[in-house]
Amino acid sequence: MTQTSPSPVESLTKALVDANDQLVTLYELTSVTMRSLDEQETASTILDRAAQLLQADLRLWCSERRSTSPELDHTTDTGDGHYLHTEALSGAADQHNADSDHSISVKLQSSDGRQAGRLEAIRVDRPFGTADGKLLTAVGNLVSGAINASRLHEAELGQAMVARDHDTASALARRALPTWRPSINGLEVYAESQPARAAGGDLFCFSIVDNTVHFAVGDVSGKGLPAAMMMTTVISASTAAFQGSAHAGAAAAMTAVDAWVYEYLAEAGLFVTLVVGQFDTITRRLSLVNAGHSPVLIVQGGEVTPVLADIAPVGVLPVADGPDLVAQNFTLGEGDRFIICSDGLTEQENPSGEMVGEDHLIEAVQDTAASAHQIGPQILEYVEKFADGYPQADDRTLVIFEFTPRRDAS
Amino acid sequence: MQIETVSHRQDDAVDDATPSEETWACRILGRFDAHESEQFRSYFEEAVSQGTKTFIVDLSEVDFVDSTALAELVRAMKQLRQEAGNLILRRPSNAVRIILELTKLDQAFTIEAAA
Repeated sequence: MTQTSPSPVESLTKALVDANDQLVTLYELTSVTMRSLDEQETASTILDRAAQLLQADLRLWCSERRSTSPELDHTTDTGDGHYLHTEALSGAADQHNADSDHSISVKLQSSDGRQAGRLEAIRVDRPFGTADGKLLTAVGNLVSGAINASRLHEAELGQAMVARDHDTASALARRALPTWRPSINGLEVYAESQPARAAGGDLFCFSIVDNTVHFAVGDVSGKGLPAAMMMTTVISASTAAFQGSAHAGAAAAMTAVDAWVYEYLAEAGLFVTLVVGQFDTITRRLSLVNAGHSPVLIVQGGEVTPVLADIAPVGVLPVADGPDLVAQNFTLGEGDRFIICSDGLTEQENPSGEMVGEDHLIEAVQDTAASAHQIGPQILEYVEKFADGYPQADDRTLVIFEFTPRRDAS
Repeated sequence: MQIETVSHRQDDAVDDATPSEETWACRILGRFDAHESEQFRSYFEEAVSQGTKTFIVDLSEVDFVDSTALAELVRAMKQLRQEAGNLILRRPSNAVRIILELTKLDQAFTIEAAA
């Protein structure tokens, strides 16, 4: 049986059918790109369609693994610095050594312009032409776009998960700050903390044992979540010290806090400025130790006296290695106040680069006509207005203790 | 802030330093706060990796220091003391000196005042 050459009409008809098939395939090719955000699935689908279009076998390599997670990674290490990502093979190409006319490839680019991989086409029955090269480039761009979109989506998912974990940790840290304030005959307490970020390192905590209010107010160096995590440790240590040293005095409480947190702080390269003290509401005696905190003020009869630090901040040098701690003692009367701020209040800047400073704070706390619960919000509001939109750079904390007339039982 | 990094080989910015194989120094200008601590740490770590035992920080031109920067100085001081070295704060400006006194950190650091 002899084989006859196709007639010109048959050849023309075949060419028209092939061209029509290619148009249909091209349409399908442009429709598959974003049906899935899984890059392996999308790339496979594109390569299947492109293989029909080019009538060739296709292989796609990437320059990095699909994912560090084994269950998500379907790439194969080819040992030449690339990973075989996916392929669309008829099997014919495997049986031939394709020469330069029968093999063409294009480079793939990542979204930042780096080479992200390579796409190769192999055809054994006829050589590639110029149009095939352009078509492969178009397919390569399509694959690059799909992979970049998928990876961007994956990165955003990852960032969202980290942000969610950060928010959760910040919320947990914020909960370490007490929502209650000491309510005890003869004493009014205002306490507020405004972190500069989702969570901060400023702290206050209280405990009431008999008629004595124990307190700690401090500021962990640094900002954000690391400071907040350390803040929760200092609150735990202070609360434990209040219970364990309830009758041993403020110096013993500070020593106990230091013993608890020193190693944690030293390891993290942080310190905490901290005031630990106690008020006896019967004798109106205030006893405290100041570890590097400022400003701390006592207002008696309108006169403002700064309470200077006794020792360096906790975490700098072990208290046990220094001289014996001795608490500062004050006897306060009705209307007298004790104020502890964090530097985030006084160092708040405005757009001109000016800082709040202590003058307004001192003026406000000397106002005997207003109560602690009136003065506190006014000071915070003043700082916010002073900032005039300039970002809050540090946590702001304000604690005011005010001795009020006792309601003695008759 | 700017950090002028001055090694023991080019010691003009800390002219009374005693140049030696084990002494590194830097001078900090302007603000020294959380934003600049990383640059300071980077230079300090380089000095430590070269085996320095004495690190001098000239603070005469600093007009503001925050708690993060102080923590960075404390961290550096502790690291050097663990290796039998020391961190020296040289000529702290008034702004820095007041903060060091208020926080009692002046008791923790070795401070060289103006000559």
